[in-house]
Amino acid sequence: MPSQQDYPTQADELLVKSAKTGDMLAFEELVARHRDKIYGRAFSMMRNEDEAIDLSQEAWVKAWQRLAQFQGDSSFATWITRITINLCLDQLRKNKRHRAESIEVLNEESGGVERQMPVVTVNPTEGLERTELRQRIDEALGKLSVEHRTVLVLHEFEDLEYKEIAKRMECSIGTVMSRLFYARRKMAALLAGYKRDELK
Amino acid sequence: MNKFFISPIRLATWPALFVLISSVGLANVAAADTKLEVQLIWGTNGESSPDKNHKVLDPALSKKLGMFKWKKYFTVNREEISLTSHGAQKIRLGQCEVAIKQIEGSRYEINVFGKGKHVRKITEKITKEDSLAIAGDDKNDCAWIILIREI
Amino acid sequence: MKEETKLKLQAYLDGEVSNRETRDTVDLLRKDNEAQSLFAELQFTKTALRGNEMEMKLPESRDFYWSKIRREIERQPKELARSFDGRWWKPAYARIAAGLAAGCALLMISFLAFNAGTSPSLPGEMESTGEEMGAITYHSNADGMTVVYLVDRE
Repeated sequence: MPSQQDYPTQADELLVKSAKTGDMLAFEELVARHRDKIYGRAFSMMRNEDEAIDLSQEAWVKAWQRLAQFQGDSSFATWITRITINLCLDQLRKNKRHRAESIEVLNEESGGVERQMPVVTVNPTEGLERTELRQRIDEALGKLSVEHRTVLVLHEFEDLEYKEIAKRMECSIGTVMSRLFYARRKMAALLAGYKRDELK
Repeated sequence: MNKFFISPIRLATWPALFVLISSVGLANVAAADTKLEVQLIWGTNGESSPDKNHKVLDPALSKKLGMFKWKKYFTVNREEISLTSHGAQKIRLGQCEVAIKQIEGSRYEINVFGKGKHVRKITEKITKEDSLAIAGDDKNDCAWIILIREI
Repeated sequence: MKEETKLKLQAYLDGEVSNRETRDTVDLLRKDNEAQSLFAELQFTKTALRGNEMEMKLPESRDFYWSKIRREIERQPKELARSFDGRWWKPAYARIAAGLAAGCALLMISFLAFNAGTSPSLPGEMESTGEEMGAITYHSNADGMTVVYLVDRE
C-alpha cells in the first residue's frame, strides 16, 4: 500500500482502487481533489450555499458506498458529478412540490415573456475578459428559473444530449428543447442588458 | 389451308399469356412484401394501466423506448398490415386512426387522426432497422406512442 | 416563425437533427433573415456558456468538510446504506411513514376516480385542436428509431 505522502501525486484511478479496498485516506484525497468542482456543480443547480454543501457531502457519502459499482467507464470526476446532479435534481423536485403554481412557473416551457423578446443582434459578450464573462454568466444564471437554469447547466456545462436531459429531468424531449430554447433566449437578453448598462 | 399450319399470331399467344400471368403473379408476391406492425402504446409513471385489457409491453420494446421518460408501457392496440406497393391503409387504434401509405420503397406517408380530426401528416422512412414512433403528451403526465415497425 | 421551426433551428445548432432536417434548416437559414438572426443569437449564447462556468470555491476548510463526510461514512454500515436512498440525517421512520401516507393517498385517489366512473387518464385518447399539431423530430441511431413528438402549436 502506498504511504500517505504518495496520495497527492497519485492518479484518480489508483486512488479509487485503494479506496475500493477500504482505504479512507485515498478517498479523502479524492474528496480534496474534486471538492470544489462538486460543490460548484451543486451550487450552480441549487443557488444556495448551504444546500450545495449538504448535497455535495451527501454525494461523497453515496460515492463511497457505491465505489464497488464504479467500473471506470467514465472518469471518476464525471461519475461523482453525475451522482451530485441526480441528488440535486431530486432535491429540486422536492422543493418544487412546495413552490406555488405561479404564472412564472406555468410559463416555463412555453416561454412566457421570452416569447415577445426581440432577438439580440449584437454579441453582448464580445470583448469581455474571461473572468468578467464568467461572472456575468453566473449572475445571469442566478436570475433564471430553476427549470431554465437546470437545462442550461446540463446541456452547456455537462454536455448532455437532449434525451439524456429528458431522462434525468423526467420530462419529454420536446419539453427539454423548449426549456433550453427559452433559457438561451433569456440568457441572451440578460447578457445584452449588462452590456447596455455598461455602455450607459 | 394445311391443318397443321399454326399461325404466328396463335403461336405467340401462349408465351405472351404465360409472361402476363407470371408477371401478375410476381407483382402480387412483391406487393404483399411489406408488412408493418402498428401499435398504440401508453406510457405512464404509474404501476398499472386503468384498463385491465392493456398488456404490459414486451420488455425488449420497452427498452427501445428508453429515450422516453415513462416508467411503464402498455399496449393498448396492436395491428399488423400488409401494404401493396404505393398502397394505403387506414387503421383504427382506440380513439385515434392512422392512415399509412407507401410512397416509395421504405418511405411512408402517415396521417394521424385524433377523434376524427386530422392531427399531422408525417413522411418518414420505416425499415427493419429503423422504426417510427409518433408520440404526444396525454393527460396526467402520461403519453401515447404509435410505434410503426416493419416486420 | 413557427414554434416548431425555432426549435428545429436550435436542434440544428446542437447537432440533434436528422439528415433531412439538416437540409431543410440549411435551406431556411440561407433564405430567411429572421431565422439567421435567431440562429446567431442562440449560437453566441451557446458559445459564451461553453467552458465559461464560474469556478467555485468550497466555503469550508478541507478538514472540516471531510470530517463531516467521514463521520457519516463511519456512522452508516455499507450494506445498510446501499438500500437507503435519501438524506442521511432524516430518520428512517419518517420515510416509512411518508411511504405509507403516499400509498394511502394513491389508494384514495384511485378509489375516487373509479367511483366517479372515470379512469385517471384514458389511454389512446388524443387531444386534438382540430388544426395540425406541431412536431419535433428526433432520430436515435443507437435505438434505431425516429421519434416524431407532436406538440400543440402556440
